[in-house]
Amino acid sequence: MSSYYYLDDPKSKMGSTPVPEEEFIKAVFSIARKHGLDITDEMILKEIDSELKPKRKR
Amino acid sequence: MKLTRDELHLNLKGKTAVFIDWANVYGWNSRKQKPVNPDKLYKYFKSYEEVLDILFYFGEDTHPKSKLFLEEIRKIGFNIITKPVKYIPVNIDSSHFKSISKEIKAALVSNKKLETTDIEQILKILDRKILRRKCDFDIEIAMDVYRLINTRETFIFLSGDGDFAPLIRFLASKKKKVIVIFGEGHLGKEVAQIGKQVFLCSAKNIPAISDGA
Repeated sequence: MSSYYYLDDPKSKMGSTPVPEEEFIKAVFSIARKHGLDITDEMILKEIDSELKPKRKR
Repeated sequence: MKLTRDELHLNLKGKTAVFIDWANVYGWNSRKQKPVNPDKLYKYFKSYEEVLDILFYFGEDTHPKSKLFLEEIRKIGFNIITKPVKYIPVNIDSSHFKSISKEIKAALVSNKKLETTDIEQILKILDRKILRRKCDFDIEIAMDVYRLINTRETFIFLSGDGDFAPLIRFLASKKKKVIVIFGEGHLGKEVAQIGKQVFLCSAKNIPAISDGA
């Protein structure tokens, strides 16, 4: 929880609002669910795996 | 300004250091808790003669307001510990976004209603990496605790973060007094479960540190 994402926030006098990582992830999951997407562990692992794969040169 | 501390007097034992994890404190604002005011916070701790260090931890980014804020904090008198926030790239043109991105690009290129410059602009945005800013000060706080452990008797943490539990236990095992000041609803169960080794204090019981006090 002690890692924070600094999110753009024009209302903040710091130029951003720090949000704990846990809350950030919870929000992302909640938004996805509202859009009909239930993010599963399998999807996350697949996503990480595809990010790790070496990119083919064009 | 001399503060009256009749609402809550912290019973400090010997030389004291205060650690403020501002990212945590900033999130305390709620219906039950007015925003913590940095100026009032500093004056509150300064009113205790035992307090020798008031350490303020917060990340710095490129936004001009960020620099101004930290400058303001420095002027108040805090000892600031800062570092640049990390920029983590999130590319929408990668992995499973790739197919969506490809479809959008194809649709754009075939769209006769859009100007070429508009299409180029949108394609540019699609190719741009989205950066997320991230920062934490756990290690810095732990290192400062370690630096001060032989010369301070009381350690005050402004953060209810459960990740601090091992550090609090360690300090208690060294016979140090530990006080955790937390926002309502922002106390990690790991800290709440420590028991008698730590003195827990809700920030709402110290109105002198908040706006509107």
